Amino acid sequence: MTTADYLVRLERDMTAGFLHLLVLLHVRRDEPIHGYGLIKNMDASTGGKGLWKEGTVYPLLAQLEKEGLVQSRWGKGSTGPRRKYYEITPAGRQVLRLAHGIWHDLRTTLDTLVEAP
Amino acid sequence: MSRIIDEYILKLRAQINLPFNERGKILDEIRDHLETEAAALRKDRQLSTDESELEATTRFGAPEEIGIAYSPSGTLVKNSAGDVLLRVATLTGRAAGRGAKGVLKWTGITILSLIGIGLILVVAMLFFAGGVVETFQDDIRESVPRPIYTYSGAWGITDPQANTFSDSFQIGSRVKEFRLDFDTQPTAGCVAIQLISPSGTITDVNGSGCGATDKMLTFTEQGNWQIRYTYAAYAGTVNVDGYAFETAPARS
Repeated sequence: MTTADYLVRLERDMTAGFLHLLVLLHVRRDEPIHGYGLIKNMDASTGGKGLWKEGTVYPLLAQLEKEGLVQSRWGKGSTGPRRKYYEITPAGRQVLRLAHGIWHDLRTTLDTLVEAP
Repeated sequence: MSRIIDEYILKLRAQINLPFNERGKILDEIRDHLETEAAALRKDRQLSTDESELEATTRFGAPEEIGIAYSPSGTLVKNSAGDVLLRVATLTGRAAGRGAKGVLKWTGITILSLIGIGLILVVAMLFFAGGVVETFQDDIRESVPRPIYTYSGAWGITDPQANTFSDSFQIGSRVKEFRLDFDTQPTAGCVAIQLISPSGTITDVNGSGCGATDKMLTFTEQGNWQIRYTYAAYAGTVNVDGYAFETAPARS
């Protein structure tokens, strides 16, 4: 495996670890939002690199809803079928606040490690 | 007629092993996504119906992979090309009684701990050969917080008489810093929150508490802290979460 291949895989692995947070951040920012709009916004905010399959966001939303971090309601779709809209819950907002603190500290740690001789 | 999308939905239906009603709702949502995407492709790139539906379903992912992502067992899934499809963690919500009013909710902390573990693994991968992980593992461990206090409630109090209840939590000697997140969403009335430090300093979190609160405060003082909630005819939610960053235990 070349270095470039390794870096591509590393970026994908790291993105997978943060996908929950990315979804929550976008739901909070754009609520209420349906899955299609959420996926497009996520793709745009990450530079359109296609780091995940679009269909994997829906199971993730279902999991977040089961955990009480987002809630949903059905509305009318633009092309006929029903459309599901998502909003963040207070529990989801709390998780994001906690995550922000963790991210800040972990980033500091990683910066230190990367810069270590 | 959405021929390719119809075929895709049929294949996906066979891959999603969930109860009938739940699966039906999932497929409704996915069909809406695919038809919206295909319509956008036809409009933006003048693709034919078949071309747009083929591209929309390809972008969405193979039915077999999507079906795995809905698996209740929850796994980190990669396809043969090495794409990380989804990390669907089976998050166990654990509640333990804590005094008369507080209930520990582990769900959010579980998510964050899994993220922390994921990052630890990345760092380990980067520096394993150099042995840096052993040198810095205390630093990494100290970056993952420990929950110290939580209160979550939905109130509907109509009594206009002001009332107060207090709660407390302990900050141990290994705590370097702790944070408290306050979130109130009133629909009526007020709930004022104050913090009283071990040394007696009073911190007014949200003034009269008649508006929504969304605030994070950081402290370092060790000892017994109190949280005082003063409310009058309050209806709405109250959520307070605290977590501490600790130094690693001394090695023997």
